[in-house]
Amino acid sequence: MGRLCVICDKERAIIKRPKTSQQLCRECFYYVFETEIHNAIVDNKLFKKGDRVAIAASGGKDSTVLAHVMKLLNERYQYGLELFLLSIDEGITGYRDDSLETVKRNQQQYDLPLKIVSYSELYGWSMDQIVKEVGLKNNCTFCGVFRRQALDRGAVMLNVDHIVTGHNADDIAETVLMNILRGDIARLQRCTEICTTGDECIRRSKPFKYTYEKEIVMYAYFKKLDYFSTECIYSPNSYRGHARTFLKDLETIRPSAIIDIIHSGEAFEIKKEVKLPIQGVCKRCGYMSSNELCKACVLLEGLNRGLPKLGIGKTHRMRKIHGDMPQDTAIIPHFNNIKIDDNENNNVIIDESNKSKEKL
Amino acid sequence: MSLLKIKLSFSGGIELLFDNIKQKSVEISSSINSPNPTTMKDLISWMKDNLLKERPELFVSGDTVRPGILVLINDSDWELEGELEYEIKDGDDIVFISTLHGG
Amino acid sequence: MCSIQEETLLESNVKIKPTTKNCVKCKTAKAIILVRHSTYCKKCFQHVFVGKFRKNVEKSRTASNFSSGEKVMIGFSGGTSSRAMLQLISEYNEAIPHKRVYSEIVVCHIDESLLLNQKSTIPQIEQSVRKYNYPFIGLYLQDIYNSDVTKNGCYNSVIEIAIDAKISQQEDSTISSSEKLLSLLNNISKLTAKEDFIWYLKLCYLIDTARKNGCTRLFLGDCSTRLSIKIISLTSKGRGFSLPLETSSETDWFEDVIITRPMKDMLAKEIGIYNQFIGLDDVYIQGVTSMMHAKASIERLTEDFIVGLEKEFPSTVSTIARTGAKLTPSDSIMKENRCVVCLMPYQENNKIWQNRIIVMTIPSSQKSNECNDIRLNCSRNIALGDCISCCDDTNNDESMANVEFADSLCYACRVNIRDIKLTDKKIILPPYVAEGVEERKKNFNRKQMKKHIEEYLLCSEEEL
Repeated sequence: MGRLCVICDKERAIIKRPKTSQQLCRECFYYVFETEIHNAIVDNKLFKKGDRVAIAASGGKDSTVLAHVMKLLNERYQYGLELFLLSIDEGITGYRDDSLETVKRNQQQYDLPLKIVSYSELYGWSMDQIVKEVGLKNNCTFCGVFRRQALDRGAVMLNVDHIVTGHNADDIAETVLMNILRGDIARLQRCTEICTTGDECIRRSKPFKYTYEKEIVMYAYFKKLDYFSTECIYSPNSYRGHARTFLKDLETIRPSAIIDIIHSGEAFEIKKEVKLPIQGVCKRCGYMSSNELCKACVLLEGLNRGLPKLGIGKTHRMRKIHGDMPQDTAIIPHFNNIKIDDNENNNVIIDESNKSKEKL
Repeated sequence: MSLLKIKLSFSGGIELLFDNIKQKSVEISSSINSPNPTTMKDLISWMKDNLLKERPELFVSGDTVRPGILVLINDSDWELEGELEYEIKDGDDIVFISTLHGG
Repeated sequence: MCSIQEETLLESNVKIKPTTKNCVKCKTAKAIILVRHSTYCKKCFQHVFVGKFRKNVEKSRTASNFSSGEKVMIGFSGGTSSRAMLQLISEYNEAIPHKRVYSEIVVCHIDESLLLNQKSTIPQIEQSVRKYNYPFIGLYLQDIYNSDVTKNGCYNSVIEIAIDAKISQQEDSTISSSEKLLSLLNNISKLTAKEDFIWYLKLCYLIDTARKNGCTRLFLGDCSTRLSIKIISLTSKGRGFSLPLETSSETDWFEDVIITRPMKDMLAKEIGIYNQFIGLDDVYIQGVTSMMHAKASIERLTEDFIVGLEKEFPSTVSTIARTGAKLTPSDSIMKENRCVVCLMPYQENNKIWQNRIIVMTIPSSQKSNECNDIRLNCSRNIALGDCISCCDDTNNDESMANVEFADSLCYACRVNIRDIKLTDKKIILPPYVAEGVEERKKNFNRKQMKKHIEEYLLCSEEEL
């Protein structure tokens, strides 16, 4: 007989919990894991009863566990939420096409409506085409900027009030470090907020803010959740890689370091005299932006004009050199013109059983 | 084959890796890397093999010195002298200064 | 979910080989040092270097009320940075001998040789500063246990934590200071926590010594390389709340002793080369993680990380330092919420925050039993912090002492305390810690009393 679980003192301990180094049994691990997420949700008043919430689903471990836990907590604590899955198809062959299959299975397993928004339909470019154009160096910039806007647009189509994403504690701690390293003071302040409100009033939050990546993997493993576990084939740049390695090393030295960094990040306050960018609206597509044009529009313009560096680095200088955009260049449709899907719209794949339930 | 006489100095804690000696005159062959001239790269590898008693990772990293260790060649920053490619001359005065707390 | 949001291009920061061989300033002399992307000749380099120092001390002088005649203390480790600082302060003060900026300069060094079982560093340090003719104070870190290293000046209670997790405050016993310090540090199982403890004990001792000697300013030699390492390591240890105080060029957090960091704009490289040029001989003092591998502690790992990154991207240090300088101490900082160990401010309710995001127990009707179980575990070497946090709902006297102690710690010190693993005996925390706990208790009682009589008070606290 092995050691007993330090919480219930009855069952055999089967894991050493990464966050606390406690030896726990399966059920007690599930309990603390789920309760911490529930605490984060209620302490921060993330939802109201009746909210329509889209779960950003990539098919990876974080979003699969998120969908599972959101559904479970919604039922257990009667949040009264209407949940949806929202997926972005970046158009990465051998990566996203496979992971989308996982999302489609999740749709069946969790019995939730699914909406897929693709880069091709929204921007006229898939990531594969973008990489062909810009190379491997800055492709993450395109992907990140385009995904953010695609999620918000998908949310409008679904007519939801809220998007939840699978960003975990490790992601947030890494972002805190990255923002210090590159001196991005505005993002440094924003990145530890559990919930942010965009211009279109779609709230966006991170219920896994305090959840360790390792524990998400453990949870998925023990619950035998179906997820897709291949890394993106277009890997991030080296600078972030350094920060990631540093964070992993920190965690080995002191497991609480991830939470400790988030604790620090939450405490940071910026001097009043430091100028922060003012959030406005992109004059071309209506998406929130601190400049005249949002990053997505500039990047897309660069792609369409064959000037992929246009949105990278100093935009002002580049625009001066290359002049205004020609009249006939394709742009992203204006944010205010997005149509809300109705249930009959074939963009939303609704499970048949679900549909019949609604009709009853 | 001739010998190059050079003066090495250590400070900022790095002397602990070299028997706690702050200054040392050494003679190295001008043809360690024959037929090529002896460079800083050769010197560092020679120091690692001949002078360093233990913990080489505290002095070298790859084929150069560890980040955080300053090198001066005749009172001039080695980053302006070509770093590893600098060709050592007889009578050179080379200083290694650690700026690290961790030694 | 891909967590990458938007990458700023760092190409411009990547190291580029200098093209010019001449000094960027005088344009004529041969360059002998490369600082970030600029090349300088010896003369211009020294001029710029001294200029950065002067700019910082001038700024702090105009900001303070002391137009002249301030008595100051130099925290002197003997390392390259404090060695250069001593020389620069001395040059600055002696520039016009009849119009000295500082009426008196005291050099203070704290000897930590006990921790490494080495011979005292004081004689060597004293020797190296003798030529300046300044009063020299050499202290031994273990003497932080003396009853006069307190606000009161003769407070002799200590905090004693015994193996049964009993925390009590009592009169000093007969164990020597050295034994107390060694026992405390030997019972800290992790080097990160040990280094943290040592640093704050040293800082508290320096502040106390400055105060007792009538010095209104303490100079610390943190250079910009060191500060950027600190910004990252403090963040990693959960000290974000106090970070602006701990890395700023100047702070009055210790009220009557202002901390100034005049070396904050110089890179470690510049200082090393300056010392070499003018022939300043530093004394290398070993610390508890010296000569160890990079993963020995958070401090060491961070140093390795930042210095390595700086080699590849030469703006790393300056960018981090600039980011740090944009942070400000929070408006919610309260002077009375001062951690009793590190004396830094802490956030009210930080323990509740922690208990919500790290769930350690399940709701159970047998809470008291459960608590006892863990307490029993304490004697079987369970970390102290767990015990403190689990016993906070019980009401007997003993655990009240625990609660008071745990409540008087900042978040980061509570993380450190978790690494105290009592092996065979009790540990003793210095009198200044006990004094802090006592003061907190008094404040708390006074607040309670005030609550009782509030409706009868006709004036505010300040008027009383």
